[in-house]
Order: sequence, then structure tokens, then C-alpha cells
Amino acid sequence: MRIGIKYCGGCRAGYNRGEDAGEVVRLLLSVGHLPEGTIVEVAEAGAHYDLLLTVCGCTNKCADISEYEHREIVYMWEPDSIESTVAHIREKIEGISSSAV
Amino acid sequence: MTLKTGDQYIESLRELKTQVYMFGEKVENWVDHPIIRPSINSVKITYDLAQDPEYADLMTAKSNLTGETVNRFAHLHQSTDDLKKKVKMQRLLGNKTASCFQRCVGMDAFNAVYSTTFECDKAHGTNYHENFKKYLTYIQQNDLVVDGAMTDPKGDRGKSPADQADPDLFLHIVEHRPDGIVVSGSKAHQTGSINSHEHLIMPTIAMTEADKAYAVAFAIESDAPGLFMIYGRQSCDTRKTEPGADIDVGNKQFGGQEALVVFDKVFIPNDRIFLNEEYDFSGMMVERFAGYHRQSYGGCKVGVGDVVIGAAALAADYNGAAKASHIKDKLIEMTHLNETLFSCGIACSSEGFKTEAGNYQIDLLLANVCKQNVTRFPYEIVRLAEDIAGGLMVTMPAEQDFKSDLKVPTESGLTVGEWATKYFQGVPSVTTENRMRVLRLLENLCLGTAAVGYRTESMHGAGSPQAQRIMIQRQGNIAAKKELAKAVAGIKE
Ligand SMILES: Cc1cc2nc3c(=O)[nH]c(=O)nc-3n(C[C@H](O)[C@H](O)[C@H](O)COP(=O)(O)OP(=O)(O)OC[C@H]3O[C@@H](n4cnc5c(N)ncnc54)[C@H](O)[C@@H]3O)c2cc1C
Repeated sequence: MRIGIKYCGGCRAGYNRGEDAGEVVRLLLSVGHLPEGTIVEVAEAGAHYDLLLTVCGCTNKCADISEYEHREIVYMWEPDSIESTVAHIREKIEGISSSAV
Repeated sequence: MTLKTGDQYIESLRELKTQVYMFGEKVENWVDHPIIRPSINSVKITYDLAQDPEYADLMTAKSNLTGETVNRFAHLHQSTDDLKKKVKMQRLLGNKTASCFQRCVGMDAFNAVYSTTFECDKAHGTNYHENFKKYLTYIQQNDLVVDGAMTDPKGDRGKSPADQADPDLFLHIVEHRPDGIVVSGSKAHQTGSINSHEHLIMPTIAMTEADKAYAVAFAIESDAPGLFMIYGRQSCDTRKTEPGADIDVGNKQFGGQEALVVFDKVFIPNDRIFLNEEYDFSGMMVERFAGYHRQSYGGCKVGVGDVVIGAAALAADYNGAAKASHIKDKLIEMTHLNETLFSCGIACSSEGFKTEAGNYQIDLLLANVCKQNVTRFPYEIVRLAEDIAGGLMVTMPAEQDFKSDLKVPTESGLTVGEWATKYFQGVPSVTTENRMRVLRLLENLCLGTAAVGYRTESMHGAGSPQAQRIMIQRQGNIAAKKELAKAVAGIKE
């Protein structure tokens, strides 16, 4: 599985997007929520991702995702949403894994 | 990838032979000069953030000229979304630097010159648009900083360029040659000129045939023969030269910069000329550049405003006054004013339109309303910040006093530093040093070096308030509004 992280530009970010996204990834990795061999990386234009974690600073969620192919997408856009984002990602991953069986 | 790193930008400046004068002397190593360097750092961050995935979405764009990723500061806006992203990028950079980051004038000039040359070529059969596309491709591929230079010194404001006692008071063509032109004159108040690799020169005002030698636009290297700069000093600037300067500077890392750029018979080759006596297009170029630049202030000033508001709120915390209802209300008012400016910047972008050349232009009326508000709101924001901060932001002893271990010969035997620290303590949970730091930052923004950008540039940059009122009158369409009133009131004439 390949997970890409895409950030908005951060003009009105109400929280530290980099830190919170890092914490989401850390939690996912540490509790073994991700299938073995999962790659988590900063999204690269043109690449295909099973899941695109789009980290935005506000409700406008204006990150341009047009250049990132993805099967599922999860948005994070507000402070104190680390746990809900982890839960949301887990749900999506389960969906992807079960549809692959 | 054509993006330079911040360090590569600094190194590229070292290769220039730009001639800079300050305090009556030639500055040889201007890159490391303590008064200049903070302004270079502000430009450097426009490179650093473009490399950072957390900011790249705003800081970069795909060039319509090369198809490559370029710094947004060198980009031609391809949609209203691009126009909005420009404003958002400027807010972001205001947040990070709390000062003028200088690269906007070039971006606004690129977009104005691109569309004006297209229409000029159509009318006059000239080749300026192709010249300009070639030039901008070079700028994008080398990720260069360009100063958008419009304002002439203007001498007697009641007289046209051709009627000035000294013809050089507006920059003009002094000689035509088969391979180019020679120009003399100067551009005043030039933001970031020393930190720029290149200058993109435009006329200051709409012109008539009598002024045609002044209707000139071109690009020139900052270190071209015959070109030099005299640095504009700022309030409290020499604090940066004090040994170990830190807290008293207010913002140690970042700053803005303006200079007088003088052209003493400078040669411009044909392929770098974008207007050459076509005086009927001078007004269009000025209006378009001013329109973009009036939009810009709905981003950059808002970003700095965020820092002013944050600093005022911190000062209230440190003073122990944060819970007072009037303080909360003042912070609300500051936020309201600041977000109104942002709303104007976003609105004139959302209502933008495609020019004949294909790049996007802002809505002119809304951009002028934006800038007119900018001539007022930062002043009110600063007034409220000074109210909240208290008088200490201008009466505090120097950093050296707080650090002094000189014993004062009184009974207590305390040092100067201990006395100062004791009496400038606010709430006990916060150190006196942190209280000093935030008050000095406010001093810097309200009346120190950064006030050049946050206050007076808000007033005059992109044109003095009256210039916007003229545009608002022209664009306001009172005649159509009269018809609306007549229809509702049942008036038939
Ligand atoms: C910090 C700062 C940064 C700047 N950066 C740049 C830059 O990067 N590039 C650039 O090109 N320019 C830049 N400018 C210049 C800016 O565009 C000018 O300051 C502005 O156009 C006003 O011109 P001025 O300063 O000569 O003032 P003036 O034109 O002298 O205006 C002073 C007053 O006189 C009035 N006035 C002037 N002429 C007339 C007239 N004919 N009739 C009636 N009233 C008149 C004005 O309305 C105003 O109230 C910058 C300015 C500042 C302050």
C-alpha cells in the first residue's frame, strides 16, 4: 500500500500541520495499523496512491490535488483531529484491503 | 526543476557587482551588511518555502511558458484560483517574516507587462510580447528576483514629465541606437532593489505625445554599467549595527528594504525593450500594475497584521490584562479589520478575468477598494496594538541594561540588570525578557523598521489614497446606480 501526504499552502493554518500529520503517521506505524510494506511519503505529482492524506489548514481545504492520482482520500483540516484522522484512515485502509481480497 | 534553494539565492547575490551606497559610502559586501541582511533573509524565505512540501502548494505553480514548476513569484496567473493563491501566499509570507518580503513588485510587473505588450503589439505591430516572453522564460528558468520599478521621483507634481525643470526627474530615453536605447533618470522607493538580480522598469503615469520619450519599459541587470543604488534608511535601522543586537531590534531575522535606483546613461538592448515611445500604452501598463499591486496588499499586510494581533494578545497576557473585556474587544476589532482586508484581496481575485494575452487580471474596482482600506486599517490596528501594549514599548531601557552586572551603589547592592528586571516584570509566570521581546517586536512593527512596510507603505505603496479614489470613481458606475434607484422609485425620465 502507498500513502501520500499532500499539504495545502498553509496561509491560515490554525495548527501545526506538519507536526500533527507527523503524529498521525507515527500513530499509524506504532500501533501496526498499516499493512506490512506500506510506504508513507510526501506525495509526488504524477504518482498513484492508495490513499492520499490531504493536510489542510482551514475549512477551505484548497490543496490542489489535481496532480495526485488516488483511490481514497482523507482530509485533515482542524486542530485536535489527530485521533479522528487516524480512525478515518484505518477505516479507508480496511475498505481497500477487504476490496482487494 | 528550476527552483533555487535559499542558500543558492544568497550565493547568486554574491556573484553580482551591484553598486550600493549607504551613509555616504560605497558598501562592498552588501550581502552580509547587518542593516541589509535581514531584508535579504526575507527574500530567501520565498525560496526556502518553495522547497518545502508544507508550503509548496502556494509557493509554486506550473508555468504556462515552460510547463515546469516555478516559484509563484515568477508566474503568470492562469486562473482566478492562481490569483487567490497569490494573495494566500503573501499572507503566509507576512506571517513568517512580519515584514516586506519584496518579491511582489516583480510578480505584479510580470503580469502587467505580459498583457500590455500583447495589446501594444496588436495596435502598433511591435514585437514586445515575444521579447517579454523570452525574458520571463529566462527569469523562471533561473528562478531570479526582479524588482518591479515604476515610481519616478516626479519633481514638481504639478508638471508633466516633459515640463520638469530637470528632465531626469522622470526616467527617459536619451538616445536611440540601432541595437537599443540609452536611458537616464531614476526610480525611487524601490522595494528589494538591492536584493534583486534584475529590474523591470515601467512608466509611472499615463502619458501624452509630448512625453513619449518617457513612455519606456525594459529589463536590465541590477549590476549593469551606469546603474547604482542609494539605500533608503529606516527608523531605528542602526540598532542592527549594535554589538550583539537581538531583542532591541524587535525582529532580528527579517526586514524590508527600499532604495533609490539611478540610471546614468544606461544601454538597453532591443530584445529587453517592452515599450519604446508607445505613449498610448503607458496608462494601461500603469493601471494594470497598480491593480495587481493593490490586490497584493490584501495578502501581505494581512500576514503582518496577524503577527501584530498575536503580539498584542501576548503583551496583554504578559501584562495580566488579557481577561479585561475591552482588551478582548480590541483584539476582535483588530481581527475584524485584518480579515476585511483579506476578504478584499480574495474578492478582487475571485472576480478576476482573462486578458487578451491569456493571463488573469484582478477586478479593478475591488482591488482599489482593497488598497483604499489598506491605507487606513493597519493604522487602526497599530493604534489598538499600542493601546494594549502600554507605554513600556517605547520607554523600556536597552537590552544592555537588562544584561548589565554593573552594581548600583545603593543599599540593596543590586546590579542595573537586576533593577531593570525587577521593575519590568509583568505576570510572575512570564520572564521579564519575554515581555521585553514582545514589546520590542510591537515597537518594530508600529514605529520601527517594519513600520516602513506596515504603515507608510500601506499608505503610499501601489499609489497614494487619492489614486484609488480616482479609480473607484471611474469604476464605480454611478450612472447605473442612478438607474437602479429610478426603477425602484418609479421615476420615468
Ligand atoms: C515603503 C514603500 C515602498 C515602495 N515600493 C515601491 C516599489 O517597489 N516600486 C515602485 O515603483 N514604487 C514603490 N513605492 C512608491 C509608491 O508607489 C509611491 O510612494 C506612491 O506612488 C506615491 O508617490 P510619492 O511617494 O512620490 O508621493 P507623492 O506623489 O508626492 O504624493 C504625496 C501626496 O501628494 C498628492 N499628489 C501628488 N501628486 C499630485 C498631483 N499631481 N495632484 C494632486 N495631488 C497630488 C498625493 O495624492 C499624496 O497625497 C513604494 C513606496 C513606499 C512608501
